[in-house]
Amino acid sequence: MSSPVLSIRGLTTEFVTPAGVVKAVNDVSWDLYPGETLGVVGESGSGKSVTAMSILGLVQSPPGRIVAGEILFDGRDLLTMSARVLRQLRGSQIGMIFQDPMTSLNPVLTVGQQIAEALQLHDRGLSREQARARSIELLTMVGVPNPEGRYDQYPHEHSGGMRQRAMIAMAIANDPKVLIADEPTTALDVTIQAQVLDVLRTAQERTDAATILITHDLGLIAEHADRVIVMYGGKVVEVADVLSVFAAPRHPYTLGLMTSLPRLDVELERLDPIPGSPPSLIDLPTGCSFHPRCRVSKGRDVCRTQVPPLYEVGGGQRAACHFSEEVPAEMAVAARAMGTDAGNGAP
Amino acid sequence: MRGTAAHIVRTLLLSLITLFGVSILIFLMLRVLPGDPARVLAGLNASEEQVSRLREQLGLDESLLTQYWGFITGVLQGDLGESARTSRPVTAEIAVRIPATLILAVVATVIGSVVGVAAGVIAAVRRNSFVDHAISSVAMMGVSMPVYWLGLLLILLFAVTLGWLPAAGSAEPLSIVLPATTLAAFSTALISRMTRASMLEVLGQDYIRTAEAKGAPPRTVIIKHGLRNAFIPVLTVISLQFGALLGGAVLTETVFGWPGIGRLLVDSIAARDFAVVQGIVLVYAAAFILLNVIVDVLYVVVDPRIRY
Ligand SMILES: Nc1ncnc2c1ncn2[C@@H]1O[C@H](COP(=O)(O)OP(=O)(O)O)[C@@H](O)[C@H]1O
Ligand SMILES: [Mg+2]
Repeated sequence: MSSPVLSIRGLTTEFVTPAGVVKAVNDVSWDLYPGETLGVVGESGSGKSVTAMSILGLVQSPPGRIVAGEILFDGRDLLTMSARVLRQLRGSQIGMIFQDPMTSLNPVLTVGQQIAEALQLHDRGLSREQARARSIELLTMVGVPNPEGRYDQYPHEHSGGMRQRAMIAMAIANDPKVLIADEPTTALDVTIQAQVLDVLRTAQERTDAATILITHDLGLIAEHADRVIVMYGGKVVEVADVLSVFAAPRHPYTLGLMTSLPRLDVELERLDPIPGSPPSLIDLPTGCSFHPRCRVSKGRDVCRTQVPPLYEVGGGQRAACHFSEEVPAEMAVAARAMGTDAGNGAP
Repeated sequence: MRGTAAHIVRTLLLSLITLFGVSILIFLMLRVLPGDPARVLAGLNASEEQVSRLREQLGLDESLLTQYWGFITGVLQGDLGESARTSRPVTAEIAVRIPATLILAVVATVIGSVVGVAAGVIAAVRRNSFVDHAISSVAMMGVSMPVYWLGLLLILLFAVTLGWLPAAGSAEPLSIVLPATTLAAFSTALISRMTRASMLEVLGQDYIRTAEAKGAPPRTVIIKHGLRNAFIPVLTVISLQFGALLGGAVLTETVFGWPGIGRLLVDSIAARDFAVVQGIVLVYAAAFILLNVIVDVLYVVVDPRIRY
């Protein structure tokens, strides 16, 4: 495998709140390789967005602070470089698509102005006409009909789907090496989610950007990602390529996400959501932070007392579980209970 | 834009009704004021006969309806009547005073807007810093200090002690500095607080994060993406303040001997000079309506979401 475009090592991001220090991202490490789509999945509050904001250097401080780690991009640490140099990378080398297109565009500037700005910020020599022409090209590329007319319209004159297409156009405007999409379809109507994902995929293919696809929806990962990072309580609990993870998840939390996934072949009432609620990031459970909700642990002491490292479990798959070898058997149990062969490949 | 033009025409037509209402109100309010205008005008030593002659001369012995009819038909022909004190046309009395008031209000509003918006933006960007607290404290003083007190303080310092600026009157170009500053103090404070609050809200919006993610430098983020949005509610405050300055400069005009319309109004009320008071109030009402129309148009310019 070629060398990664982005390497995160021991990233720890906290928020100081009146209730205590929130460990939003807790010693996270992973690599992103050129051309791949890396899915980052986990329940709401597991630290996915904060990881993305840490990469861009956009964690609000206060209350946020990055207390440890490095983020290597092209061999340079984003966390220690000057604000100016980082700013030159933002939007040119690293593009970002946010969750809510209704609020992520500036209401008093036209959609076209906002795309043109992304171009002109990183290319001083670009004239207004050139920026306009290029922006219209980008709008065409992301499938916006009547791009010339749309260029001069304001965000409130666009539907959610059109705005998210514009956000994608803005993010890929400078052919970034890394594209981060944080829940790019969560805020959209189900009927247009698939279209927008197609646009994202096309955009990614055109620019050949390595993509980080953040979502709480494992189904999206199955369809769009090559590899997956599973986050729980601010930590990475499983890393695997998509085929392996759907064939045989090795962390009980990943299994829980899979069995709670709505599927065409399973009746809704037989879905099996993970019991309990996400952990408090201020006061994490001792040992493995998933143990209070875990059905594999069965009350064993080691789960309560020892933090499991990310064990190599074979085939490039890694899982932070003391009993990861028991997970496939548990999956068979779950599959029988749901009356389906849950373990057979992607949905 | 055509919608906006139609909106303006509609507003202006409706405002005719408003003006008509205002004319009735001010007419009646003056007549229920205690004190007989003829007696006030005639002076303490006037005989009963002189007073009644004056009353007749002013038309005050006629029925209210007749008096109002005379007033309103005059207004429709652009005639606001004569001042009982000076016997000059009311329109001339007002026209002489308008420039002084207008220039004072404009200069004070410009000072208030520029300084207030700048201070508000700085306070918001450096929130909870020393600068923010300093701006807040000064703004607090600005909204709570009585105008005449601030005016006297400034006169004492800059005119009497330092001798840099004229204390009163409007003879020299520099004369406007002290009254305008005094008048601007309150607006500046108000506008800076509004700007700060509005900026803080805007800087927390998702589109600010988008601008940062694009690689925009802080200045671009704050001005182009932040202030342009934050300015919309501030515009309301500025226009309200300008309206208030047009009408409420009485104290400042008195302290600084500024020959504006505010003093004319106060003097005319004291002298029961009905025609002048009615005229000034009508002109104010018309000016407010005009101001509102201008602000409506400005909204369309600053906020593309607003269409009429
Ligand atoms: N500005 C903030 N102040 C305090 N806590 C925050 C802030 N931003 C995020 N957090 C906390 O960090 C945790 C992770 O959030 P986030 O990364 O947004 O989760 P998600 O995986 O849903 O994207 C959450 O518990 C959230 O409450
Ligand atoms: Mg999130």
